Amino acid sequence: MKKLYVCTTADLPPGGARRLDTSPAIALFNHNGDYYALADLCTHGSASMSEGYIEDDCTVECPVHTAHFCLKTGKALTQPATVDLATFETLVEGDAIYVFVPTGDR
Amino acid sequence: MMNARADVSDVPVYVVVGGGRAGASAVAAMREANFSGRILLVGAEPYPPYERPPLSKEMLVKPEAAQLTIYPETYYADKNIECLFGGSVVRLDSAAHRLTLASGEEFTFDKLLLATGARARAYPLLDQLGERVFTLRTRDDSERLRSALTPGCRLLVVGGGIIGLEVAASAIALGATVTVIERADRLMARGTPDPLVDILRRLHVEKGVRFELGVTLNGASCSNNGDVLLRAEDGRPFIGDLVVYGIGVELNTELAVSAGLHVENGIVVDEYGRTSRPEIYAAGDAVRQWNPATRHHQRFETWANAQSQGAAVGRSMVTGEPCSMDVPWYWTDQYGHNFQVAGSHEASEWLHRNTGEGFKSTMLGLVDDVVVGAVTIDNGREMRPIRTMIANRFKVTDRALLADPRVDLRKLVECGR
Ligand SMILES: Cc1cc2nc3c(=O)[nH]c(=O)nc-3n(C[C@H](O)[C@H](O)[C@H](O)COP(=O)(O)OP(=O)(O)OC[C@H]3O[C@@H](n4cnc5c(N)ncnc54)[C@H](O)[C@@H]3O)c2cc1C
Ligand code: FES
Repeated sequence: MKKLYVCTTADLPPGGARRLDTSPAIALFNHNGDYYALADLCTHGSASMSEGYIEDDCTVECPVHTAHFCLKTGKALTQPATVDLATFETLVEGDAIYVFVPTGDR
Repeated sequence: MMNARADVSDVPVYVVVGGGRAGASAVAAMREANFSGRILLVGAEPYPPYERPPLSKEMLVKPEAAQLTIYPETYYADKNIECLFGGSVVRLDSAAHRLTLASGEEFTFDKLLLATGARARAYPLLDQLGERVFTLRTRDDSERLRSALTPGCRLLVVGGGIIGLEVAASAIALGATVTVIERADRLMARGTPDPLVDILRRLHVEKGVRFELGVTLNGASCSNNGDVLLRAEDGRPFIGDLVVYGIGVELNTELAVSAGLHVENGIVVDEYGRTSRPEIYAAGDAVRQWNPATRHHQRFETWANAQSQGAAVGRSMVTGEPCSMDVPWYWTDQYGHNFQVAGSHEASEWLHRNTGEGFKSTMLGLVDDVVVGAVTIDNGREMRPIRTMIANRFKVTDRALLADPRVDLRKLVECGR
C-alpha cells in the first residue's frame, strides 16, 4: 500500500471529483466534505466515474448509462451495472488529501 | 426450464409474459416490494432476460466485453421466481384468467403483466435475400450478424435509424465498407433532435460511411457471382455482400388484442400500468402509458423506459401505488462516443454549450425560453441536472450564462435560474 498525495482540500470542493492516473485508475470524490476513492472505470463499460454525478445520497451516477454506485462501499446499486467498484482508503492530514493505492503502482 | 403449476396453490400468483428488460425489472420490483406470492416469468426466448443495447455495439465489435446478462442466473431461484424460458404464450383468456402456452400447458393467474415488447419490422422485399439479409432484435440475430461481418465486406444498411447507424459504426470498426440507404430525406426521422442528426451524419461520413438518402427500393436479388443487388425506384443499383435492415418495430400486441384489451399504437395503460382489464397490467416497448404530468399517453422504445416502467408497474401490482414517470431519456454509443437525449426533441431553438474539448458538448432545447429537451455528447454528467431542469420546466433568463460551459448546471438548478 502506498500513501499517495492527491491535492489540497481547497482543490476538491464538495461535489467535485478527480481522476488519478494510477493503475488501476482511481476516482476521488468529495461528498459534503467527506472523501471517497473508487475504481475509476465503471464496471459496466468504459466510463470514467470521475466524470460522474455525485448525488446527495452519497452515490455517484455513471455518466454513460446512469448506473449508481455507493461512494462508501462501491456497491452497484442500480442497473445496468451489476458488479461493484473497488474502494480505496482516503486520508486528510491538515489540508492535504491522500489515497492509499495498491503497491507496485506509482 | 421449470414446470410451474400456477393453478394448484392458493397463494396469489402473478405471471409476467415476456422476459426482456421490462419483465425482468418487474419481477425484481415485485420481490423488492415484499410480494410473497408466486411469481412466474414466461419468455419466448430460450435465455434468461438479457440486455439488447449491446447487440448492435459491443456484441458485434468486442463480444468478450459485452455485458448481456441482466441478473445472474442464480438470482431468480434466490428470489423464488419461477421461470419458463423458451415458452411462448399463445392464448390469453382474460375472463378466466388463463394463459395457454404453445406446448398446450395452461396457467391461471391472479394478476398478469404483459411485457411482450416488440420485434423488428419485416421488410418482405429484402427478406427474400435469405441468408444474406439480417435484422437485429435478439441475441441470436446479433450472433448471426457477427459471424457474417468480416473485414472488407460490403455492407448495405437499409434504414438510417439508430439501430442502422449503430450497426454501421460497428461494421466500420470491423473493417467493412458501409452504405446506408434511407427512404426519408434525413436520418433518424423520428424522435431525434436536428443538431444531433447533423453531428451523427458528419461523424459517419468522416469514418467513411456513404449515405443514400431519399431512396425508395423496389428490387432485391442475389446475382450468380454472389453479390447482393438492391435497386432503387429510379433504377440506381446498390451492390454489396450483406444487407442489414432496421426500419422500426412491430409491437408484440397480438395477445392483448385477442384478449380484447384496448390497444391503439401500443397496449393502452393508466398511470398504474393497468390495461382496460384492471387485473392485467402491461409495461415496456409494447405499451402506451398515461402520463398525468403531460396529460398524454406516451410510448417509448428505450432501455430506460423499459427498465423504470417495468419496475414501477411491478411495484404497483403489489402496492397499488401509481407509477411516477421520468423525463424520457435514451443513449446511443457510436465510434466510442456516448450520445444522450432527454425530453422533447421538438425545440424551437438549441443552445450550445461547447467545452472545446473534442466532442464533449451539451445542447439545450428551448421552447419559449423553457428547457424542454437536451443532447449531451460525451458529457453525461450534465444530463443529470438537465433532467431536473426539464422536469421543472426551467425558465432561461440569462442565455449567456447557460451557454457558458464553465457554469455548473447543478448550481443553476439549485438556485432556480
Ligand atoms: C439492437 C438494439 C439496440 C438497442 N440499443 C439501445 C440503446 O442504446 N439505448 C436505449 O435506450 N435503447 C436501446 N434499445 C431499445 C431497448 O433495448 C428496448 O427498448 C428494450 O429492450 C425494451 O424492453 P421490453 O422488455 O419492453 O421488450 P423486449 O426487449 O422486446 O422483450 C420482450 C420479450 O418478450 C418476449 N415475448 C413476446 N411475446 C411473447 C409471448 N407471447 N410469450 C412469451 N414471450 C413473449 C419476446 O420474445 C422478448 O424476449 C435497443 C434495442 C435493440 C434491438
Ligand atoms: S458504462 Fe457505466 S453504466 Fe454503462
